[in-house]
Amino acid sequence: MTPPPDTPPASEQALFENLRLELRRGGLVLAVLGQLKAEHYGYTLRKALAERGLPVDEGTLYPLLRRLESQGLLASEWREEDKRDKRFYRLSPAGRRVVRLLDAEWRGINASIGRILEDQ
Amino acid sequence: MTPLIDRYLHNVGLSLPAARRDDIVRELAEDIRTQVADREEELGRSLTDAEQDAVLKQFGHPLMLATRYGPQRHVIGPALFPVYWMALKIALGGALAVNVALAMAFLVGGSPPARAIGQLASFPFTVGVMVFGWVTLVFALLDLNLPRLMEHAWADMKGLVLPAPEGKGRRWTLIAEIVGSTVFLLWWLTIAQTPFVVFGPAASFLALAPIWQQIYLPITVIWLVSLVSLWAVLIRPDWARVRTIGRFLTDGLSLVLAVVLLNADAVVQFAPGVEQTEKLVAIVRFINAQARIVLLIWLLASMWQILYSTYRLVTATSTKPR
Repeated sequence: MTPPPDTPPASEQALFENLRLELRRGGLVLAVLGQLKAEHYGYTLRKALAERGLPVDEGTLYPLLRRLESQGLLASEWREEDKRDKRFYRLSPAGRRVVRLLDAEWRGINASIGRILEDQ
Repeated sequence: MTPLIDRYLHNVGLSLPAARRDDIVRELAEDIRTQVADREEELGRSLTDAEQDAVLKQFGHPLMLATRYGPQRHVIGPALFPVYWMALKIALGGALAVNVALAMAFLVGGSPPARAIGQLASFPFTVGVMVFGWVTLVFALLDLNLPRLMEHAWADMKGLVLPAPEGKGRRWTLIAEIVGSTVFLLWWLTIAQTPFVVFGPAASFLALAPIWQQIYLPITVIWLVSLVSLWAVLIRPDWARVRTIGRFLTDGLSLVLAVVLLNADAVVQFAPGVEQTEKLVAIVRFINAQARIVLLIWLLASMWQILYSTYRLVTATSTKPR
């Protein structure tokens, strides 16, 4: 069976997928930090991100949370909720300052790229 | 927790750092438990094995998941990798050339063909592995110190690539190298027939050990290649890369030869028909013992030369202005 005429070839699709993941990677850090302005544990954080259009798999999210915590951007604690122990994450004071800076940077990049793409 | 989930978490834990293992596994277990409970509430029944599989598959392979918790590690980073790859190809190519030449020498010398085939067949498991290991080790050590090396090279800007070499100074150095290499080659070509050029008057009772017959042809070939590369750069100064490759080849050969000679039983022996008196035996033994010390110094010098050439190549390549 031949693919529809406007379907990109497999190599192009693979290339797009790589570039998409690369593009998404930096954004994901900012999204997680932004979402953690309010306290969450892993499961609710993932749901909140997915509801806002940014689904992320567990194998990416949990290691990322640990990395951000080891960098001092997040603080966490084990607490009981609904009779179960859960690890809650929130932005640390340093995390709040960094998010503000990253937010401005993100908006600047977004606006610039928007202008560049509109010019084409 | 079902046995399947327990087994999955156990496998993740196996690859996690011990200090954080319990904490990480506890958090993952909690997420899995919540997902399973949510799904069971949705369906109004317990999950089947296949449905549990689907939940776990979202987390990924246990090893891959655990690896993501650790720092990004590499033996040779992307900055150094292109130079490492080039050096590895040159070193393995050079070693293979020596091996082929040795196999040919066995055939020409009248050895059974099985020995020549054995020489070639053993290459990947002996010399090949050794060359691969050493080159990788050297580059891994360089990679560990790369930021410091770069800073040092950049501080005095010695790492910058010079424009195409021109001028009399460079030309005369090349000519001197060609003259020196040619003199050595002529001397080398005579030693097989005239031991006197090696031993002087002692040639009456001394001769080169059989190991020299095996390495004679490879040395001759590689030395000729080096000489040709010198001529090439003299005629075409923009072919400096040819000289770089030629130099790596001779440095690599020097290292391999030092190892081969160190592994040999002896480097000199009695000339045929000489009566082996106690005094002469002591002399031959002494010369072989001294030769081992010299060979060891030669080996270390060759290793240093390769390290230095690699360092120059790395710092020059990595700080090349765009």
